[in-house]
Amino acid sequence: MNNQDLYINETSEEYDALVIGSGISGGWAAKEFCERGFKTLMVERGRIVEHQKDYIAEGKPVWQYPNRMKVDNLLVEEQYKVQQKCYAFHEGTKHFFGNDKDYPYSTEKGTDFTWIRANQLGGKSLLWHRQSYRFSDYDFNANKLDGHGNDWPIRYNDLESWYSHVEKHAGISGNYDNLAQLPNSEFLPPFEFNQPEADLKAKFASLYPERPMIIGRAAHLTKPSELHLSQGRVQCQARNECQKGCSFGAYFSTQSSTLPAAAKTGKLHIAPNSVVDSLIYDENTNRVKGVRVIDNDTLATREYYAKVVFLCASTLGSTQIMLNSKSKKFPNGIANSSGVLGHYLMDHVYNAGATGQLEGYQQEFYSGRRPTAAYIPNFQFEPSKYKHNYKRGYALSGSASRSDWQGMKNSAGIGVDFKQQLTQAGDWHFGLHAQGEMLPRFENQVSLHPSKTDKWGIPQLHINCQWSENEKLMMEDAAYTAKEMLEKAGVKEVKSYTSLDKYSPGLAIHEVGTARMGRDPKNSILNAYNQTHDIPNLFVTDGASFCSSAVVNPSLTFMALTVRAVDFAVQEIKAKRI
Amino acid sequence: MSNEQEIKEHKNGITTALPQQSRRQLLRSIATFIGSTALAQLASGNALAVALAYEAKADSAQKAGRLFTLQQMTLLADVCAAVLPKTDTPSGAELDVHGFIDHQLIVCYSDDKQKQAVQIVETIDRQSYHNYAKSFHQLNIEHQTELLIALEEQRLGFSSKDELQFKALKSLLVFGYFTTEVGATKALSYQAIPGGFKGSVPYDSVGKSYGSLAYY
Repeated sequence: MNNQDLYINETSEEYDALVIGSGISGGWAAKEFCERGFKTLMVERGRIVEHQKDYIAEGKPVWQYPNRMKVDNLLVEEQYKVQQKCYAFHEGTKHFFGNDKDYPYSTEKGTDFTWIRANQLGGKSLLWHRQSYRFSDYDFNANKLDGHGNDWPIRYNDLESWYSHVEKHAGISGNYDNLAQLPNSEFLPPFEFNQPEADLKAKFASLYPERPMIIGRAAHLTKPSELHLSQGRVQCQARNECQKGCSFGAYFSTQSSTLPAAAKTGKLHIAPNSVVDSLIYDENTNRVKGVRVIDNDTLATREYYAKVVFLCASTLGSTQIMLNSKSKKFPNGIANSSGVLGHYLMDHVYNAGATGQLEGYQQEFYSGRRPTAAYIPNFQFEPSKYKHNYKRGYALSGSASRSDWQGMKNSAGIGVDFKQQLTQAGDWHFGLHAQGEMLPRFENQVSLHPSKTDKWGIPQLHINCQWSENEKLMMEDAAYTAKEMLEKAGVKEVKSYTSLDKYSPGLAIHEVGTARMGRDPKNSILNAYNQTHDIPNLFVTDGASFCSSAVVNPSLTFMALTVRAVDFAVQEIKAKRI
Repeated sequence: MSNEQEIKEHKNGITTALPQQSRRQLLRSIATFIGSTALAQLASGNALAVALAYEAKADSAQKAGRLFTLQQMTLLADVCAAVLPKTDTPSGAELDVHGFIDHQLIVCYSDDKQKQAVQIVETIDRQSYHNYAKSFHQLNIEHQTELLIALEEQRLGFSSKDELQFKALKSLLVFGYFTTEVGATKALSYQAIPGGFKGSVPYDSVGKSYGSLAYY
């Protein structure tokens, strides 16, 4: 299928499946539907980004950028004031971030939320940090055991085979660590530790046997399988410039992995530049018939129709669409008979850690830029392991590296010796940085702003989200604990930090919740298969569906939930229940 | 056929044009021979257009910049030569780091930061007259170096505020130097496409810090 056939604009055809969004979840939904023979339309609000061809900054050395990879001050001020807070935002990636001017949102007085946007074909799958971890049963049980949030309607066993399914296709590098709190994936070979890390791993193993240090599991092809090669993907070259796009297809993205598979079936159409305003609901049949779309560029309106609709528009994107889909039966948002739509917004809390110096290793170095770090999984993964003054836990992540001219540019020195010092690798340092769970709280919610709209006339999202006492206490403990661990392991000049007061929720870019799953239709939006309780042919399979944030990075679970939901939906359609 | 066309063909070949079997073979061979020309070309295929990048000029010190006056540009060039002098690699002034600083301050820095940069340049000249009865440009490099060391140590009339302002300017100077092609690839070790990650290599086999970074 060539590209002319892939992209559509106007059509009156009724598709078998509509997938709204083309990021990690949308890409998987489209692939799975297409491979089951379903004629599928993927609706994407942003522009087309073609694999390889549109990675316009890839491979460009720093001196070839107009501003050496820094972004024009005025441009930031006018268009990227929010987006520039993301670590990956720079001159080589800015075209994959949403323009703040086009995507306004408001926040409740006294609160703030950093909403990072990637509204183009591929969505945040182009920009993600690629860390890939399975949830464990400790994660699925947490809400039930300590009473925060509602009980997940699924357990590890429900997702296990689906994790395997997505991992084999996506390609996840990692080590078989056999940890109860962090189930193994289907692994490609792990990235290596450097020498100081390997030594620290051994020290932690004897000092803290319950806090093993492993290599971060990441969606990179360390050794591509036949399946990966057949997708047109090759081995990771350790450039660690992933967010510019990767022509090697060495990290998982929609473009590198799910889209080619979906397109190959001949069953896929994509409607780019199609901003979904709302879902079209038929009260007589209690089914969603399709979507109302506003053209990204021309603001013209059009509609698309299908038998089943999958919302994969990102956590807040999907919820915004649902809130804006009002009818007589659902005056407060479609499939919102429970009234919890928009509530229980979570992110991760990444705001504490400690760093210090390592002595020695002057003859040790590394080669290449490893796109992952060392990782100490959550060691407070069940109530008996909780600290006395707060609930749940956190992981610690960090890497050892030698300081370089970037780190030394503020140090004193003028002349030949200073220049010489800058050209040499300096001392080693190592840090541990917390990645904590955020409790689900009813008060943390999004709603439609009563009067403000965006340029498409769609009501803006109003966000009211704050850290709670639990996150504050957790970060204080994490800072203390990280410092203690480093000092005991022999790291020198250890300094700890907390930064909750500096960074609002959102910046971990792990926003989840707001259309949660649950057993009880009275207090949840989705059932155990990500199907709305209220409307049989409407599914939400992205982060909006989460009941708890857990500690691990969420994307792999978006994938597994999505493919499982497609499998279920297809069975339901065949059984004529949808 | 131009180089650019060749590379486009190559990329197209990998994605679409070749029949299935040979495409698979090509991919396999690419995966086997890491760091081959094919890979390098594939991954730098979009790097050909040097759109509006700051280009080093030979005469930045001889004319007013966008932020700095002619006199200030001359002084800034001297500072670049003193902080990072010529060794087996060129000096900061030879790589037109002063021209880059002028460009970068205007484009990427706030008005306040720009003012502070101008201020410290003026302060350096003032303290030069005060201590040596000569402009900074008229000093020999030994005295220039001496004065800048005094600035960092807050001696010879320099305040802590001066020291902070200079730190910001010097930081941009160092950034400007090591993000030039010569700075990144000659003064440092540059791995455009590392070909994979090795956790332990002898330092002497690299011998320098890396100029190729994931984030700048």
